[in-house]
Amino acid sequence: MSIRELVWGGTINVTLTVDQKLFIPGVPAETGSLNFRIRRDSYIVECLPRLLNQLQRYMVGNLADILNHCWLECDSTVLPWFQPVGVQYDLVRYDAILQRDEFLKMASSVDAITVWRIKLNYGPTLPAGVIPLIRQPNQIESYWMHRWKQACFILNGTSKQMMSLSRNDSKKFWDSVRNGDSNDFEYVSAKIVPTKPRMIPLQLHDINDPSRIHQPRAECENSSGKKTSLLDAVATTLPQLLAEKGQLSSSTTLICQGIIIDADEQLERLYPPMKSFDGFLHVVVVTIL
Amino acid sequence: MSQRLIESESESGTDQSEVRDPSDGVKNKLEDYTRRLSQLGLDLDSDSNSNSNSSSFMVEEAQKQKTVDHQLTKQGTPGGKITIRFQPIGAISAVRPAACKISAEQHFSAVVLFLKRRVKVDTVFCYISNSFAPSPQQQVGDLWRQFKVNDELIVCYCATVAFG
Repeated sequence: MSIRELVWGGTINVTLTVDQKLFIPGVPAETGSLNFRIRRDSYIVECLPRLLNQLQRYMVGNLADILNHCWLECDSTVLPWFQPVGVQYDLVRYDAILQRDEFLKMASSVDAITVWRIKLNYGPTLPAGVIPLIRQPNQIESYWMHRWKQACFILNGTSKQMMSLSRNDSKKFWDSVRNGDSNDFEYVSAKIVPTKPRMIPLQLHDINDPSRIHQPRAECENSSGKKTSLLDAVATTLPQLLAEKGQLSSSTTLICQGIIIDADEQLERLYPPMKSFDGFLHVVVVTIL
Repeated sequence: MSQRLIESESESGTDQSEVRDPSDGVKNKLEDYTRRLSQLGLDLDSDSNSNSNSSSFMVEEAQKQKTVDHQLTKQGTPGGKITIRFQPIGAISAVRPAACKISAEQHFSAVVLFLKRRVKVDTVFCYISNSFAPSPQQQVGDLWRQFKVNDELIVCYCATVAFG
């Protein structure tokens, strides 16, 4: 399998616990627990209506109202719906990635899997900073389209390639994300992503300040014609993470699509196989303080 | 709140009702530390501070401040402020003056809130480069660095969806 196929096919095992307030009194707590597998390259809220539909006969209130007033949490950390599932997982469960080798050794002797436990909370007011979902599912599709337009502008210097997609291709593009169809996704994204991009749509997520998403200006080549590396982008954005001789400090690790990546990797080479389904290259910066 | 975070650019320059940038407070702290250091008669190099816990703390703070200042001024956002130029689309009223200054660290949601209050509408659709709507959580400094035109971030706005 190619790296691209592995990235596209990456999944996470999830146990979702639904807020007990949403259930009819007397319904056992274990009823509100759902186990499922979700693609890293997707939005979790996109599949939420389907998941909650399974529990609707035990729930009070209608689904539309619930979706307008709910938010996801992991260990009391709010998970923003507009970030890809894989990025959210890497941000809160980076320890599982850093200790993967030990886990795999242990898993070879016992029957073990990694499960991400998250909670769906419900309340009249959303926590500060949470963007409400008011036009499900159009809001998610629209948000994703604008992400791609932005990525297209960064890659090409114009959003023309994205804006001139036919209606059929636009629909095929979104459907490919919803259905996990890699062929359709690659077919349409090839019309947007140039072979020689101008700049790379890059987002850096710092585990110590997850609300601050860094989006540096990441040119493929610097003024002297040298190919830009991921380290160059991190050095410009988060200079405090550099040790002597311009290298990353030993306490810092970079994670992309759930794997630890080399900081010296060229952005131009890293982007095509590792890009996310929203057109951006998401890198989680883990610094153990 | 956001109206106080964004300052209008008057014809003669910046508005006198300029709101203090969060970085100003940190700068004042740095000046205070520097003043106190000079009173102690200590230099800022690490060797001379290694014997004193309090002074080494101050040096650490000063170094942290240097990092913050670097963050604010990195990639050409002098003083941590950037200029936004508002361009109305369709029948929505224009913002006067059209150019405003805002802290580079602000989220784009602050710009949307400012526009809604200035134009007195409940909903406003904002676009960068006449094409895409940024996420409300994106920092205006990041947007300015990537999409600026003549050192200004052009924000087009409309009462209805203009670029779907």
